[in-house]
Amino acid sequence: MATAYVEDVLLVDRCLTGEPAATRELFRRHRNRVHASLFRVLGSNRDMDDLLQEAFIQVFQSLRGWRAEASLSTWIDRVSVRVAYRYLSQRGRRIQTDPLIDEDSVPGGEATDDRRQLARDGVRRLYAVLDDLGAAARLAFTLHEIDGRPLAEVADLVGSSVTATKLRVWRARGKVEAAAAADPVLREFLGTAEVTP
Amino acid sequence: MTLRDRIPVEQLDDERLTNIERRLVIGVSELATKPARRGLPSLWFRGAGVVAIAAAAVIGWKLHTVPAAEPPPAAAAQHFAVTDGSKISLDGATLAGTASYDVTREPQRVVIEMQRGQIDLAVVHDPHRTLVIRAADTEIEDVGTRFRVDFDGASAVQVRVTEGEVKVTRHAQVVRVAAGNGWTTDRGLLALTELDPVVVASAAPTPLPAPVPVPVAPMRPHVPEVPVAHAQPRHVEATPVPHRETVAAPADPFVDLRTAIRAIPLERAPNIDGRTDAATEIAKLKKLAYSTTVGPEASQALYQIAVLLYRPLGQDAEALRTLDWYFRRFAGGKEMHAAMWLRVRIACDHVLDEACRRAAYSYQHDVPSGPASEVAVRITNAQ
Repeated sequence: MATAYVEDVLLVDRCLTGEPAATRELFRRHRNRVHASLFRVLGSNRDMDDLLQEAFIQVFQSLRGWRAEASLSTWIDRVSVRVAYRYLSQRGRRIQTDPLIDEDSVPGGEATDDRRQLARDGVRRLYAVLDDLGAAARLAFTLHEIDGRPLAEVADLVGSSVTATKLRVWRARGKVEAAAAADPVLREFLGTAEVTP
Repeated sequence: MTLRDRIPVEQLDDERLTNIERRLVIGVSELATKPARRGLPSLWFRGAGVVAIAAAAVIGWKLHTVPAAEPPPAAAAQHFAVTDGSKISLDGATLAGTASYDVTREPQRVVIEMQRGQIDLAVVHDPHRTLVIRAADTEIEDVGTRFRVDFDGASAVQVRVTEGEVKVTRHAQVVRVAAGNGWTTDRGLLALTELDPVVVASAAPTPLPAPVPVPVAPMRPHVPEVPVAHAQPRHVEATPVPHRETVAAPADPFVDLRTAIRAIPLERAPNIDGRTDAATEIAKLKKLAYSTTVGPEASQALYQIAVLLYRPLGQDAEALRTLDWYFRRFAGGKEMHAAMWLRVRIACDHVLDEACRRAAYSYQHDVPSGPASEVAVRITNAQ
């Protein structure tokens, strides 16, 4: 842990001297995590190139502001979430969600095909419901329910209180469950998910 | 419900990632060269752009029948080479000394570009037309004053201010030098007592006539005794000045405080004077400081980099940033107190402001006794 911290500090130091190799290294170290989070928030790779680039540009632009109090990855996540929030706010609530799995590339038997088809449809319908949520609610729900981050961490990332974040997640969950009540495909997809108190 | 791990992340292929990385490296390198962008909404930019284009089109249409005006003539530089101390009147300024320089009149300023030598100036400040002395990469702008500029023809510049104030700009850093103070490329701002230990009261040995405001005085083309074509600026030594037994106390109390600050030596400082040596030493120290091991060598190296950036390189902002890194990485390190004092010294080098007081307060808080702490207390309490 301490080694990782020192490595982060040294890497940031090198980035601040304008060393291109350090820029690449920082991007490579954190790109997969940032991409995964953004993907789970947005539900597709549409505009992902621009978003990922914008997130890291913001990171490098404010790198001098990293006071090494939070870990570098948490700080980068915070910047990425801000970029995602801005994107969601500017684009309005409607986000065009791409199919997550290429139908032609799915191997396997009939049962596997059915399961994959259900997953594909369920995910599409889930994000269609999320498209109707506000940016803050969508971020809170996806970061907590899909990205699996604890509520306190989500609250920290979105710059909100834990109570407000919890309320947003609860309301979003209510809307998803209401949609599932009227949509058997979404209900079946969610029905296979674990139920948590 | 929990949907964790139930939604597969569709990975970006290598080509897309490589493209993003390439654009990112370019974007970051551009960030380093561009000034910080102001946060104007893009809509405003677009609106302003449309309005500007429309206005340009209307003006262009209105003017297209009017004969094009002659472009204003480019400001021509006049060369002066003065070797006998003759005085020159120039737009409200009186120049004396032995120097070789070009004068360019621009709409709102007169630029005197020194090749080498020494000029004593008495200037009546005109807010509509400032006088700027340029020597290599240093610019000295008068703010209504008497001052002297020495330039060795390469890079070393010395400024001595005896009345009023001048503004010295070098490497985008601006320093205001008030009466009783001087400035050099090597040492930055300092009291005249430090620059010329035996002379305090008069730094301008050649008595100059009182400056007479002349709105637009005709400039003498050149000093007739020295034909420009054959002018060979000789090596200029500082003119000997009469020795004075008594040293007058500086008028500005901050000068006294600053002298006290500088009287405290920097601990654990590397013994290097030359700029080239310092740059080489920094390169060596960086290898130690940026090594992955966090040991006493790394902490000492980082501190010494900060010292060298401050003196002799004069890169105060970089030195402060390096100190910030030191405090982050080596809080409690052997050089902690020395680093804190270095921060006081840099922060208080030019002006007694809030940053200077904050640095002094932190120091006196961490180091409650000792001569440096006493100075820090004086800084904290100074008005």
